[in-house]
Amino acid sequence: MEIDVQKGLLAANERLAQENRSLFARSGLFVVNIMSGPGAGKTTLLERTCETLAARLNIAVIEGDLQTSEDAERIAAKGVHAVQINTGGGCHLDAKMVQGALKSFDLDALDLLIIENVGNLVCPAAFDLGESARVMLLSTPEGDEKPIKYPLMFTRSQLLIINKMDLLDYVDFDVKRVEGYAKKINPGIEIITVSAKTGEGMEGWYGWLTGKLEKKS
Amino acid sequence: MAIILLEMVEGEAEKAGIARVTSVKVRVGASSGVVPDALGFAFEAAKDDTMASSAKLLIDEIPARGFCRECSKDFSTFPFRYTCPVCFGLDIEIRETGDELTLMSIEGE
Repeated sequence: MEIDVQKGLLAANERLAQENRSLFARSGLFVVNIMSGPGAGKTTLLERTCETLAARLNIAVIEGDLQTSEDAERIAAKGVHAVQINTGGGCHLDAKMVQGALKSFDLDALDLLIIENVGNLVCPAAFDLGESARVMLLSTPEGDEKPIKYPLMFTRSQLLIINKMDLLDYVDFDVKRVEGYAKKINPGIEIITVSAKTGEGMEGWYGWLTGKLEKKS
Repeated sequence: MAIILLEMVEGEAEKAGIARVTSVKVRVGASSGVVPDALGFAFEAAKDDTMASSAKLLIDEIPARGFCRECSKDFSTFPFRYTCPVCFGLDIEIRETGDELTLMSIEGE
């Protein structure tokens, strides 16, 4: 007996992602999904962001890691409500995990929700979480050929942040080459360069965020 | 992805009253991010102790295709080629996005 199915494998995740999207829209909440390889500096970037913006914006953070609550604790130390999702062995966050974590927040009271995805340049790109925007972080020690090696991640992001600019003198990293590759595979992608450690360029990131929030309201 | 697939297969089998799945047909697009060989390998590993333990996975690979309106050439847009490889024209029609990832059918008894 042959049964016709014709259902997308990611249909279930898509449905939950749209549910999340509707919840966020109802609360007027701007949600960012930050992705990168492990160690690119997502959490440090978020620590600096919380330090600078938490005074004028109601921010909350969802942290995704296989194990530990290290990252959520770092964010909480900055006075921002952070919830940790531990995937156990899963290499990416999905819409169901995020939906579960949303119960910990009063969404109506928030302006900005940042979801820090599991450090991974492959899988997170395929799983819609219901976010308003996807941001990719690439650090200078990782190499400038990453956009063509891991294209899906770069195609599906609206903003690319090049981090660890303070290390540029010590690594082989050509910013113009990365910009060229990224724009080739995603012509609409915006690119900014920062050092979350020294603060260089961070105003550009804050400006991007506040600009998006203003457009929403 | 293999686990998502198996869960869908089991769900459909239960709905149709199938106790033992003998084959699973999927369509995997070239730009979907899924590698057919990897899916096949993972499926073989994950299907033990499920209704699909003796099922064969048949993968229909769908290429990502574009058509150049300027010189009428059909070409592959994977991975991220959106200008014509023959005349370098920019007036391209996307015939197949290559994003597809679909469970088409299951067979069993």
